[in-house]
Amino acid sequence: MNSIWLKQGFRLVFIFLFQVLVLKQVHLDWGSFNYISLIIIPLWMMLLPVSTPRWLLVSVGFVVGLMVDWFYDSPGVHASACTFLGFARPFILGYLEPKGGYNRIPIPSKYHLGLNWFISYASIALLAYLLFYFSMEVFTPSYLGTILMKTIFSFSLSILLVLLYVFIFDPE
Amino acid sequence: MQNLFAFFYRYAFVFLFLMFEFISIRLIINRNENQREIFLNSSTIISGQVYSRIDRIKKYFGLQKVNQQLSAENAALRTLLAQSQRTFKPDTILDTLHHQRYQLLPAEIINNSIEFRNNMITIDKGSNDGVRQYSSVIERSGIVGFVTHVGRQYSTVMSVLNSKSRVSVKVQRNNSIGNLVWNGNSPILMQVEAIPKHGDVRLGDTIVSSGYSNFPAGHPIGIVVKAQVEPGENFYFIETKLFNDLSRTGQVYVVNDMHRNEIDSLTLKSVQK
Repeated sequence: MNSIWLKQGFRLVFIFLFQVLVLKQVHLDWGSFNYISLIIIPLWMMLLPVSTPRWLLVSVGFVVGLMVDWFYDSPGVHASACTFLGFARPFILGYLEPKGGYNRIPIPSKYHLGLNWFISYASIALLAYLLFYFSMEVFTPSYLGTILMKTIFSFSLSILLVLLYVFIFDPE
Repeated sequence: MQNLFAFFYRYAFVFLFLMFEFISIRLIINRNENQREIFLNSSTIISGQVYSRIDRIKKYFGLQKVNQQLSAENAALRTLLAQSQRTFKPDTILDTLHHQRYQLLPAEIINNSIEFRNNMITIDKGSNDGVRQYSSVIERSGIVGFVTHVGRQYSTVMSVLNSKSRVSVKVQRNNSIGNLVWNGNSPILMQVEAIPKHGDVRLGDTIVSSGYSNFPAGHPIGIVVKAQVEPGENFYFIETKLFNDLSRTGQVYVVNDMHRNEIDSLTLKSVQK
């Protein structure tokens, strides 16, 4: 148990620093086309142990989100999205539950559940995160087009980053 | 009780979720300028719409009371109308291109003289009826004078048959400008000064007001019965027979010039400069 959370801690530090020190500096916008943000912090939320209680998911989501916001100068935006992902994760896992259930599976990763399963899991989770995140960032429902554009473009690049991470480290 | 705790424990994550989202959105609104403005604006719009809806609904409840008030007011006004002996309606000109310039108030002459060198007239309308100082007084055809003093119900009018009266007029045919004065002899003859000898005035020409003084432009005044240039003079000597007979005048109109204040203040400004 402790070793698993130790791993989570190391992963958090790595992903967090990668997000706020590297990805934040990447500006993939030219002219009025500023629809791309690279977001990888939800990956950490995705890879939390299956057995994590829901209240803990929601709580750590809020804390981690606040930390990211601290670097992004956007208090509350990442926090709300991370909290939302923590809230939604059990439902996504329930929706994608394999035949044998999650017994003996410590974390929902490619290593344990296969590439296809992980791609669909990561896609749903990342989309949910990005949709919520950009809704909070734009903050006006009437700019639905902008929200969707930002979500789609950011998703297509961020999902590559997520998969790249999974292929390189293949977390167990 | 145990069930209640179990319930709370089971759904604690929902409450936590809602609480954290609430905190996040508070943070977003309070610490981010853009979202804060959006929030404030849209809440103003929403509350404004709600208020206007409520106001419209409220008005329906007040309709009966408003109706009663209006009918009471109607009754009072009708009573006043019936009691009123001095009812009149100002004549107005429908002018859609410019705003209405002249307002005509019908008035009755109650005192008049023509036999003195300086004649004055009294009319039965005053400030209560909208008469203003320096308004001109005309007849349907012909001019009478201009208002010198305004009382509440009566006004005095300086007749054009007065040595101080000086009205800017023009010859209708060729727009030669001159001044209409009275030499004190005949109350149906007046003199036009200051039309230069190249002005081409002929017998039978119509003299109308020029609009430079308070009389409305183009109002007929009289007809030229004598027009000659004395030898050595540069100006015509013109006598005009008035269209109206001031000894027999009863019904007149007071002409309020709505533009007069603006014209006067402009003139004053340019003079001061």
